[in-house]
Formats: sequence, structure tokens, C-alpha cells
Amino acid sequence: MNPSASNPDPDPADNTVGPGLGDQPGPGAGWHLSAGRALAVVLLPTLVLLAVGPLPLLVWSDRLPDRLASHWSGSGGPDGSMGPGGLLLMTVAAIVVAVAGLGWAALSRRRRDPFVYPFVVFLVLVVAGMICAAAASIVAVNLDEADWRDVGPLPWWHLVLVISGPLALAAAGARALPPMPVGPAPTGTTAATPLGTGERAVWVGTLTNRWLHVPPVVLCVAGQAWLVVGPGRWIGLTFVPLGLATSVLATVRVTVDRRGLQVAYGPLHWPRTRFPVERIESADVIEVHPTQWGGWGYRGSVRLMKRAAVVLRRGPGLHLRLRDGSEFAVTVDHPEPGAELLNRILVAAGPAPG
Amino acid sequence: MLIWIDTTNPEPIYRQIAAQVRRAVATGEVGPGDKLPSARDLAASLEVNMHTVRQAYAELQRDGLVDVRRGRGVTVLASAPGRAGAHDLARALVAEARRHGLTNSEILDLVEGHL
Repeated sequence: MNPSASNPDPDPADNTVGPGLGDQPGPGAGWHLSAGRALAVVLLPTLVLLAVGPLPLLVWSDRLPDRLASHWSGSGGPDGSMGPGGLLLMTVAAIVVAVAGLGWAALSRRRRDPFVYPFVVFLVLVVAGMICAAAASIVAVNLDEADWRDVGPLPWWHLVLVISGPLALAAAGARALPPMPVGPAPTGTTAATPLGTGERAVWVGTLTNRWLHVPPVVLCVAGQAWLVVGPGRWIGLTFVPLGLATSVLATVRVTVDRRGLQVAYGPLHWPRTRFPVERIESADVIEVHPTQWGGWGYRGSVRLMKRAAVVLRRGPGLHLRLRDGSEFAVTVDHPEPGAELLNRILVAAGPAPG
Repeated sequence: MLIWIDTTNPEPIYRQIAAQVRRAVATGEVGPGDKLPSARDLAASLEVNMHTVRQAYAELQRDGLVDVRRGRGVTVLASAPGRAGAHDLARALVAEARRHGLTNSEILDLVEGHL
């Protein structure tokens, strides 16, 4: 089953007033940002980008050489240059693209997969942010130099800022978006009978993918070999924690009980991810295709992309729709009793306040 | 593996837990070599005392169904095909008895008479 099928895309314009839909934005309403929110989502990051990219270029244009050192390779001085006009054009073009992406996310009325809007916002802000931050770094190192060849090596902390700054901006931008409204329950979900007062139940499902034990073993062996013969042999030691980290995703145990859903990773059943009942809207069983979730392992992010999955193989998985509009899936063998129990627990817990 | 208990049932809870694990083994939901949740985890999930779960696991160990090792967890030992067969026969017995209008207590008396 296509994951997007659980979140149907009402055809083609969701903002047309349908029977019982247009008047009040209940469940099933489309994506909608208030005017103030939309303005903030577009304007605030744009101001930041303008202040970091084009503004320093314009303000200090008379303190810059005719050509700017713009490319460094290795640890020495610059080995490439460009005119300030070209750099200005690059930053402006990047900001125009970013504004287009932000505006599209802010003004669109269509319900889409919950991760689409945050993903686009994140992407355009990372790209535009890095271009503008790189421009700021170039201005800083070229300031008050007579010729671009006199410029020294690029300070390492410029690189750190050029990468981390845009990532932080993009994460903030994506999180500023409101959650996708929760749509109607997927068809085929029968009303679950609530769990009785004296009833207690727990469902435990497991899944192990033996093939995923291969990378950790290979990494550990390679680490040992590196330690003996490799250049900079202590680098080999870093292979071992990497191997252990990958072994964590070779096996999962999924537990459903009155507290909600818990996924325990690895042979030690640690670390663990918890989804308390208050966060869960409904549970169902889906067919997980690694291509639709971006591959194997822990894919996506519930917070940033509104969509995440623990994918150990192709096949059935337990799928959660969360109250904030995001979704989570985990591949596990025979998930049907787990989904059924979780829905019974959710009905017994009743709708969350608000 | 689904473990379902009813706290209003007079049957001791550890017995109910043990019966549910037996059922899971009989139906093949869990098989030899599978690890069961630790007593601590299962007790937290079912909101019962950890010793209740330990008692259930101890009973299953006495029956040779699981192996309980300190620090190594609880491992299922037998796939118990014979048990699964007995399970099926019991189900068939109950269905047949119901068809002939026997009540639950009459069915239990009937089984008890053959013990």
C-alpha cells in the first residue's frame, strides 16, 4: 500500500467548499496557514538571508578588492576568485528561489503527505542559507585587502558556521510550520471495542534482519585490520562504535500496551523510542516499501519531516498516525494483533483534550 | 505475541500469564530460540507486580517450555507440536460439546472426569 494512500489527496482543489467541509475546518480540512503565520514563515527567514548574503556585499562594497577570493583547496591561500557582482547575483538568485519555495508552502491550500511542506522549506533554506553564509564568509576574509591573492587561508570556524548556521535556520523554518491537519481515518479500519476495565493486554512483535548484521561485522573486522596496517591506525578504533551503531538497527522489538507503542532497537533492546497514547491518533497495518521511505534503517524524522519509519525489510509494518499530523511506521512480523490492540487501547483512553 | 489477562477473573494472574505464553507457543506465535520480554518489561506493560511475571516464567520453566537465565533473559525452548495438537483437540472438544448443548461447567466436569 502506498503510504500516501492513507492520507488521501482530495482532488484537485481542496479549498473549494464541499458539503460540510468548507465551513468549519474540522478533520479532513486542507493545509491552511493564517495570514500572520504565512507572513512570518516567508518573511523572517528571508530577512535573515538578506542580512547575511547581499547586505554585507552592498554595505562594504568600497572596502572590497575588485575580485574576491572565493575558492580554497587544501590549507593554503585562495586558488579561485569571482567579481562581487557575480556573488551578489548568486545570493539574490538563491533568495528568490527560497522565497518561491517558502511562499508555495505558506500559501498552498492542498493537503499533501505531511512531510512535503516541511521538507521543501528545509531544502530551500539549507541551499539558500549556505550560499548566503558562504558569501558572508567571503566578504569577511576579503575585507580591506588590496588584491584577492593576498587573502590568507579560510578560517576553519567559517566552514563550521557556513554548514551549521543554515542547518539551524532550515530546522527552525521547518518546525515553524503548523502540523498537517489529521484526515479521516483510513477506510477499512473497523471501530475497535474498548479494552475493558479489568483487562490488561500487551503485544510484543519482533523482527530481525540477519543481513543487517553484516555491516556491523564488516565494520568491526575492517576496524581491526586498519588498526594493524592502516595509515593513522587509531582511526580504526572509530570503526567499532560505528559497527555497534549499525547493529542497533538489525533487530527491533515493538511493544504495545496501555502506555502506547515502544520500539526497542538492537540486541540489548536499547535505545528505545516511545509514542505515548496521547500522541497517537490511530494504528493500522501497511506494506512497507523501502523505496517509499528512503531506504533501510531509521528513515526521516517525526519532528522535522512529519514522517519517519524504521525499515528492516520490505513487507508488513505497524503504522501510526499521530495527532500532530505526522506518521510513523515500523516493519515487524504479523503486526495485525498489535494494531488491533493499540486501537482498542486508544478507544478506551478516549479522545485527547484539545 | 499477545498476552491478555483479566484482573477481575478469579484465576491467579500468574496462571493467566503462563497460559497465554503456552497458547502463543502452541499457535507458533513464538518459537524455539525466541526471547520473551524480561519480567520487568512485561510487568510494566501489564501493570502487575514483577514477581507475578517471575512466578509465571518459573512455572513455564518447570514445564520445560522456557529457559530462564539470570542476565540472559527468557528463551523459548520447545515448539511443542504435541501441545499444539492438544490445543486443537481441546478446541474441537469444546465446539462439539457446545453443539450438543453442554454448559461450560459441564464441559469442565467432563474433562475433569478424565484426569
